[in-house]
Amino acid sequence: MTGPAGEHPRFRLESELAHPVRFSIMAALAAVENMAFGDLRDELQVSDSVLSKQTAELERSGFVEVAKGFVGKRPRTTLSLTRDGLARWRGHLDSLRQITAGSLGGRGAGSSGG
Amino acid sequence: MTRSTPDDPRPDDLRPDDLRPSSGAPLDAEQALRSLAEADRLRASAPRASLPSAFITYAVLCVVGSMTTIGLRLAGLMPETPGFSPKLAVLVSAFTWIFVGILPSVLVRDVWRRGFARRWVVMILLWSLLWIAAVTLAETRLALVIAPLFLVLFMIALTSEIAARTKSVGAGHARSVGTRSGGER
Repeated sequence: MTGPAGEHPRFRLESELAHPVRFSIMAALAAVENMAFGDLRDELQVSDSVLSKQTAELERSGFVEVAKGFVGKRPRTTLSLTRDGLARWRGHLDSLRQITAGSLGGRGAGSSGG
Repeated sequence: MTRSTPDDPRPDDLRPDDLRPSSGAPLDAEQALRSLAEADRLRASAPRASLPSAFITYAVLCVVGSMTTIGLRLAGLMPETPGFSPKLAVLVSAFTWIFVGILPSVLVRDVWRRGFARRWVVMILLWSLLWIAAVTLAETRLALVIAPLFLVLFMIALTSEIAARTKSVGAGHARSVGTRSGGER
């Protein structure tokens, strides 16, 4: 259950992704090229303020890019993962898989891709 | 879709925040499994469109390419008549349809599955090269070769998109089965 360096895989988890909403934001954005703020809010069933706050956290940590633009006269905010954010997300999932595989003897270890 | 209200639990209350390595709390496998299952669920549900509207644009572009090639070939065989240029008529018609064809992808903003943007750029580049060849060589016998190549190009785009989607859905299904079997220990 230990990694190459002998440490427990939980030490390689991204601490910023411990928050359930931030984890869900990353999971949703990892599957797509980008997503409008409103679509993501509806997908995750959270309020504007919750999504805004957690997105700002992820942006500060370098996981997420926020692009602001206009569709006609209406403002539109689009979110996407940064290249580094996607790599760190995949690393986070790998660590979760190692924890699962180690504890369950390999049974039921998901191989969720980004 | 529902939205949370001020009465909803704060996000910090939704789940114990004990995944932090620095917290010292051991992360158990069940929590990890739940997280992986959640990631799989969101990955599968986020892109709603089975094929993006950009494919309508691409279909129109390929049809226009094919028809323009044949049209220019036929126009080249027609005698010029005063006040009417067959080639100009074909090109005006083609560019009008190209303009109309790009409207769906401009007006309808789909959520694109990761990887589609790269395939899209590649397919548009291939279409552009074929379009240049078609306009340049349409009056030669090569037009009969170039015209069906637009159909081949669209089939390649469609096949690669379906293959990518099937692979993604299949992987997600395999993961969900694996996750369930793990949870039934």
